[in-house]
Amino acid sequence: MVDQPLLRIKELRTHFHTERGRVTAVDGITLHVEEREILGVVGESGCGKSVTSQSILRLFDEKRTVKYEGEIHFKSKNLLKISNANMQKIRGNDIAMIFQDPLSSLNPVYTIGYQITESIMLHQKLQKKKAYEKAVEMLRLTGIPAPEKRVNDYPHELSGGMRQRAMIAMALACQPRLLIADEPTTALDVTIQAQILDLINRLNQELNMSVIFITHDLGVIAEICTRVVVMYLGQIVEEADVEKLFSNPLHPYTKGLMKSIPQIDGDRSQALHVIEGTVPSLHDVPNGCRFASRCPYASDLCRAKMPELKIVKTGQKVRCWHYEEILEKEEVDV
Amino acid sequence: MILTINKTNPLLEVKGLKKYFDVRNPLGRMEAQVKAINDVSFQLYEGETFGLVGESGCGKSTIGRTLLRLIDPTEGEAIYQNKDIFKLSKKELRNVRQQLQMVFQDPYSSLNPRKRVGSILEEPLKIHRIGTKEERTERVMDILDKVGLRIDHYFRFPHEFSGGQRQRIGLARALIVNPNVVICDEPVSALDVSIQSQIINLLRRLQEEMKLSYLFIAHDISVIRHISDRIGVMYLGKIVEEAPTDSLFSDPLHPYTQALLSAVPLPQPKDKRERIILEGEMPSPMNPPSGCIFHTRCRYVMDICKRQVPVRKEMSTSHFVSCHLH
Repeated sequence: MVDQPLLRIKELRTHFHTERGRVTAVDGITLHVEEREILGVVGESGCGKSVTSQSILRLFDEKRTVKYEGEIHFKSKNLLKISNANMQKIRGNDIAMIFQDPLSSLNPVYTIGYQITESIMLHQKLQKKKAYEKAVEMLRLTGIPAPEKRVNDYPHELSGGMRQRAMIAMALACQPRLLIADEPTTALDVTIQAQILDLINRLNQELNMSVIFITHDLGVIAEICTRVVVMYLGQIVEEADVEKLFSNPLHPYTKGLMKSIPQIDGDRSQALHVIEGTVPSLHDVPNGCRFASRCPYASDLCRAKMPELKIVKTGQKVRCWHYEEILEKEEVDV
Repeated sequence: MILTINKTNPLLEVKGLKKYFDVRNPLGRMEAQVKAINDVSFQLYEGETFGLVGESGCGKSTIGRTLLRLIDPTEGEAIYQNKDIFKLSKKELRNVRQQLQMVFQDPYSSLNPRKRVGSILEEPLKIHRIGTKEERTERVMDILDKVGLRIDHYFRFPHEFSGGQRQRIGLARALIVNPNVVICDEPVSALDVSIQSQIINLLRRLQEEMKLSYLFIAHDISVIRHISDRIGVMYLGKIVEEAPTDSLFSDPLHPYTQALLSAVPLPQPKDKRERIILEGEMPSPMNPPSGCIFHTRCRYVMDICKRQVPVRKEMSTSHFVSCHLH
């Protein structure tokens, strides 16, 4: 590919200062987002997927709690080096974000029309009337029926799915190049989730917008993403095209995750696969491979030394000492 | 899964259950009624898991709560051991509550943060006046072991545990009084995938060991399918379809069930199915549609659907549906 990727993150580390000492929630993330692609980031709570996305927009309090290391390149700028004022221009304009819970992300005392208009006026310097018309147009684009009327509603007057649409309308109002969607459908019902996924897919194609889609739901990943990053305890453990990831997962954690979800066409009489134990605390990160304490294949090497994220023959990247042996062993078993 | 289900005598039989919540204006005058449960009937047989699935606001949790009389129903009966739970006196109700226990969704807010795990688990025994002090401690130790916790967890506080472990404590608290029926209200939906499977396996193991019957309430269709023997699909306060699990998934009859099943994202990227996208949203339960409650969003809507409430029909063995198409 000749084109530069839209977003390039290199060795990002996000440290938090807490009462119990420094915690590194994101520990050396390297990834990129191509133009027009939907990159999935999947992992369980505490794996650092949300911290990664919020670090891209520098949403944490840099004076007190957080320290970033590494590089985030976007439009030939390192976002971690630019001033706050310049960062403010990028937020909302070039990179927009939608969150899991639309009710707590919208201001309850203003109408959604006011809130969308406000962001358009702020970022695009449009006149109020023009901005208002644009707000209505954005609401229509996201499939809200009768947007001329809905624009005057307060957040509490909308249902969950409608609120998420309003959030998306607000995020898309300035035609961002990159949309970061942090668990946007987790709080919604499946039939509404299907509507929203459809919408994000359509907007991705129509508006030429890249998406980082953060979720814990592998089903959603399979449905919407082109490439996937799997995270565990602040690190990427595997990266692959969506088809490869599901047909040929390499990391024991990815394999475990896939086996532990009940399948809609699976064998019900069998017990579900279980990944033993729990995610270790960030205050007490293991020295070697971070998954070693829960991994059925862990060896002394794993417990002593952390594996690097390596590119393998299939084009995937995996962070595991033993992935080849595990593959061979599985073939023998079959 | 227990296959020898006694089909003749249900352990718990719910008949015509209704729960309407009054909506009052600031002056206290009644303005409208929210029909959260609108004429629901089902049976729970010994040793089985009956799953109730539906989207938020369909009334599934309200059913669980009315059965334990955490909220009082508007109408209907719930027959347990030849007695109507809704007509019991306070004292009788206490006895029944020992046999009907509940596990809640949120393991964070359902445990008292100021109590140690030991006393959280002993409390139900004290309330039901079971055993001496030593016996109670022994039972707590027993149940800790059964749900996969350690004995030294006895002295810890809830905040020292992870979500999965807290859910184990919640389960232990329900099981310590040796119930027959456990109402599980979204017991795994707050948990991570890898922890979810641990709890589901535990629920199934304990069901066999302790001969439990579950009323399993959840919105996650894959989870419901995995654990249930029979499933009721709820929409807007009614059960629109009820069937044995395999029958429901191989041959969903109600258009809502079909849409619901097709909306579940599958972890198989190549396998793109035809999805049925439902237009719009669930109507307000304050003002449910006339005729068939689903007609406003149904693909196959006919004239009769708007006028007449469909009757429940048995299409194949134990597979019931309420729809004019059938």
